[in-house]
Amino acid sequence: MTGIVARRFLWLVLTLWAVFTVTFFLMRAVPGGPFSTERKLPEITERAIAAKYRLDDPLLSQYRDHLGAALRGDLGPSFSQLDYRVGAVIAEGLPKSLLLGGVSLLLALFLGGMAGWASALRPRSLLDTFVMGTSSLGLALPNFVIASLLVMGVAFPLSAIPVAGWGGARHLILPSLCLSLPYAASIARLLRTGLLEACSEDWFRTARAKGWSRGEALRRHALRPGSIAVVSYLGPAAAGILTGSLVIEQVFAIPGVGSHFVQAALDRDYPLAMGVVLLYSLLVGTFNLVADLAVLAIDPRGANASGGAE
Amino acid sequence: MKPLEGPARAARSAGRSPNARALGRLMGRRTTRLALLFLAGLVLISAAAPLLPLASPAETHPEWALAPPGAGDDGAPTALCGRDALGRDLLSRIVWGARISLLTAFAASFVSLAIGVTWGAMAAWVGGWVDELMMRIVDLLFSIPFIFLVIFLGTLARGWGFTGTAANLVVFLVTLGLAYWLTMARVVHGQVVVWRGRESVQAARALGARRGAILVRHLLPNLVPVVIVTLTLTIPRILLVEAFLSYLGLGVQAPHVSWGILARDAVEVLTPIATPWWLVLFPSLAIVTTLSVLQYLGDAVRDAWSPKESY
Amino acid sequence: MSGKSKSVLAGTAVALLALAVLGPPGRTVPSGTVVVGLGGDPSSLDPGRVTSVRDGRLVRALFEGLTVADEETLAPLPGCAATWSVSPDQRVWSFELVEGLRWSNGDLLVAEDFRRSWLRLLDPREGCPYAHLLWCIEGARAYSEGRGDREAVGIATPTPTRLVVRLETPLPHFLALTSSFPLVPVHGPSVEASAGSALTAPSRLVSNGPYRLVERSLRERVAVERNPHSHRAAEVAVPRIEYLATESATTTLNLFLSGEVHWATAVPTTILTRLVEDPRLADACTPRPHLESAFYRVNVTRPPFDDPRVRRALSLAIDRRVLCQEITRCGEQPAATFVPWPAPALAVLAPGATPPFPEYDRSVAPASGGARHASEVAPEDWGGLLHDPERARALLAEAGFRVPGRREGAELPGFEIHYSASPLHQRVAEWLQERWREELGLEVRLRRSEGKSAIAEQRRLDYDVSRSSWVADYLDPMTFLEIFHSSAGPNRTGWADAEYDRCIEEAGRKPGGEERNRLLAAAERILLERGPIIPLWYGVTTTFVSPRLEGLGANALDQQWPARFRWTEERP
Repeated sequence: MTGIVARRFLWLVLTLWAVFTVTFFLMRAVPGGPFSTERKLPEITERAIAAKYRLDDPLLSQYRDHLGAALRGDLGPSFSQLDYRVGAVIAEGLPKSLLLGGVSLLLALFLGGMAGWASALRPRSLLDTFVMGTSSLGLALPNFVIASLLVMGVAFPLSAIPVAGWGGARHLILPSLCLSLPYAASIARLLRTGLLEACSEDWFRTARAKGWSRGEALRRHALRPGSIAVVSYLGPAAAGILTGSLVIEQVFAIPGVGSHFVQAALDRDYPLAMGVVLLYSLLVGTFNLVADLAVLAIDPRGANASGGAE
Repeated sequence: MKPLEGPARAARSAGRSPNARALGRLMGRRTTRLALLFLAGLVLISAAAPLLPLASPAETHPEWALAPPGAGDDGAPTALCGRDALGRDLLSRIVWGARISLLTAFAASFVSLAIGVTWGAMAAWVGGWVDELMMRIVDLLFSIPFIFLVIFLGTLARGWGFTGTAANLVVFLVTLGLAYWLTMARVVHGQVVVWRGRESVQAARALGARRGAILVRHLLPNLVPVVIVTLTLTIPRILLVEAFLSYLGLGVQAPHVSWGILARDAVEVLTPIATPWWLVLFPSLAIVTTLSVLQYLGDAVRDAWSPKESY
Repeated sequence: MSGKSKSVLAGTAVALLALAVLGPPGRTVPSGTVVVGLGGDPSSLDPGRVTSVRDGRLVRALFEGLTVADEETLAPLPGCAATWSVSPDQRVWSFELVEGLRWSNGDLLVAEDFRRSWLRLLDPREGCPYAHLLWCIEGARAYSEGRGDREAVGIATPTPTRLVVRLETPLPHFLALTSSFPLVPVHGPSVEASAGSALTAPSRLVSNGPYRLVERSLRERVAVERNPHSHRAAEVAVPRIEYLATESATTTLNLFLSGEVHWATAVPTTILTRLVEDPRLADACTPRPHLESAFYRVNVTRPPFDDPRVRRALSLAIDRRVLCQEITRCGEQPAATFVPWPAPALAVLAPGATPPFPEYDRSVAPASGGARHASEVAPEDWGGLLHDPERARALLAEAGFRVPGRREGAELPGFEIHYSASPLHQRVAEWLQERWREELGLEVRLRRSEGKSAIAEQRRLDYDVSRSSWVADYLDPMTFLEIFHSSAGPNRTGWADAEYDRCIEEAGRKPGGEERNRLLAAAERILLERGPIIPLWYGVTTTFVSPRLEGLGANALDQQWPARFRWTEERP
């Protein structure tokens, strides 16, 4: 167990290093300095800027310095937010993104779990058909479409639910719903399949023969093996929710890391964009690691399972 | 070449190949035929878009801005799906958007196909530490959030001066393809490892057949099913990612139209003062139908090639 | 197991509830607060680094310069300076500061603060984008370009409340310049302590304006509250202003409609006409003239654009009335000059308003030849002044090119329209492409570029014709005309004209008056007749303002003075 954790952790560190290295050199290969202004700057000013951003040093020594700084948590100054360093921008956005992502993940678990359970209780019933139909729709609808439908159908008529923005709990309702629906759909399907598979096992039939109700038998015997797939899906789901928040934060004007990233890409703020790529690689890697360990805890046979990211 | 003829003939004489049988199973279902028909129709319509009697997708008519679906008043020609904020015909934009959306999805899938198959097959075929290294790289790339990398690469590409519309599209396709070859590489790798160990291949190698010949005669036919299954999973994913990126303004750029751009245009004019529902409804319908059909086909193809009941 | 699964579900539900309730602290906006939709984050709150109009709105709330511009007339009114005087040769200005000025942390503000801030703006190592505003001061340009000495710059502080500035040459608009936002004072100790980067944390940003920073949250909001140490604290009526950083104009509009935003500085242009017609917005939205000139640059180093007749033909082929009515559609007016808003054009948009440069009577160069004074043109004729496709074709033929309807002459090579990414610029470029194809039979391609690279490409002269616009830095026609001096940085066309340069230089040495205006008008005429530009329209600002918010004023530089804001709780 410790060996597996250590090995996976090493891989994570290696991934981060590779991402850093590749993005660093790609970034440095872009022509032109960070700033182009309407007026031509005097030469001495251009030199001062070059010195400030260390653009004149040999590439390798720049790389060494930046890697060292990144290890200390300093990712350099942002090109678009002139008063901020990349770390400070991320520190402002991350709690908001994590809160939104956390609520969405819980909501997905809650909705998906309920729906999957209800479906498995009465397979091929009307309820089951409805849940499975809705979930395939949920999987095919891009979340910005869900978002605009909800804005039109819910936020405009109900003045209590805001159209956009960040502030109180009511600002979280629509974004987290949009963000969680596709994952709720996946969770419902995985749980249903897992539970139904467990139903076909001998011990389940034995339990039914003992006179237990279907629900009771499902709960006592099928839940644990039936939910392995859901647990191992949580890593990719968490990663997917973080990715999905790129759009949702934009639609609902939420000041999280995702919206910083989109704006950084539009403004060509390379250091900020690179910082977010690194951060999300770290987060996704960690989620996958944790999800794998959770699967290992439930079912020690599946030690090689590994999640992927969108 | 001669020694190869024995097993090959044996396979043929056993009746239809597994691929043909799977294809038969696939086409046997009416829903599959319907889905394929829909897809073929969509491809045909978008391919023939310039020939169709549609208004230009870029032609603006400010005087008819936000006209609802139906026959236009004050001299406007009929717009079946209504008009957008600049008075452009929405139906025409959806059809032209299908062109770009499908082109992106298919082209990027084929980029991923080319890289994935080459990488996976090569690693498995060469074997040894090269295999280990190549597949470890795939593992490593798997834990990178790719949307972010695609956006980052696109941003850098603009910095390098790929700003023309065509260049932009190419960069976009290539970065998407680059991001989505990993699953393909893994699947192909697994398949080749299995097949390399098979007796017929071992025999052919022992008898001195050239590697290339073995690859073509033995491996490729067996790769086709897994590749098709993986492709049917990749295409809808890329379609969705394209819509996603275009929506953010980081994907296809105007004057090109894609379904993601249509969705964004719709959201941009949605206010309590003007709620042009058609701008949301029709593009969403196009995206959802196409994605559902593609996903259904993916499931069907997978079922046909790996039927659970046939062991 | 049964209990466990129930507890898992229940736990999820409880966690959800807890997160929702405890999550982000709910906010209530204190009553009397004015909320402004800023359209995005300010790029910085450091007056030395800010550049955009958006940044300027915040700097004017947080800082106060020597003078402040009147929100209607833009005339300089006393700010930190109570009185001022100028020497008879118009070269030495001396400002007497208000007694007992203080920074928001209670420190005394003295004349030396102004001197140090201005020298910082000029410091070549700082690379401040607006350093050139002070180049009129003796020795300033040399210092700022790294050639001169800091001590040689003509700014002195004989007493703690007196600032004396020696100009290189007399400058009629120098006083107005002192109200511009880059020239506000910056608190020395905090700037030095933070090395520039942490300057803007609410706890550390020390300012001297009517407001002080109390909250700054990226992509969310910047909140300011009345600065008790300001000498104007008593006249500031609005206790708190929140600037929302919402990017999307549509979202901002939705917030405006729900009453959560009182002044939306950016509006969704694609549906603007629909919005203006709506009764809910009719009294909230009036387009106002803005000192912005929208035009296309022509690269004169590339044939056939080295021939002024070809440039003029491109300009005469387009009907700017159609452009403004069908493409831009926000109240912009067709341009027949480079310096914006001459009286006839202004009369169409805002009848009765005073034009920005009332005593600058320029002569225009209409298509039909012969010079006319702008004031002689009737408002209804103004838009068509530069539209004459016949003459355009004749000019091209004269230059030896083939035009529709003629067989002889060389074929005019195809060229590219270079424009920066934005829906409006895109539509304009497509429209121009169509017009030039139709009227002149030209094969025109489009090349789109991102904002920052667009400017870099213009500077490298890597374009044929390129979309441009210029906004006044100060209230004088010179702010427009000086950019096409052959040595000016923003020229970016390769155009150099000795006579034009001479007019600009001579006008620069005049303290003002009729002679100076005559020189500037002569320069503008040269620019229009053989210059490297195709003028398109005069810009407007369109914003939504709640009828309950007063004191924004209406001026051509889109400058407001937040100390003047008034908020009425009841609808008037």
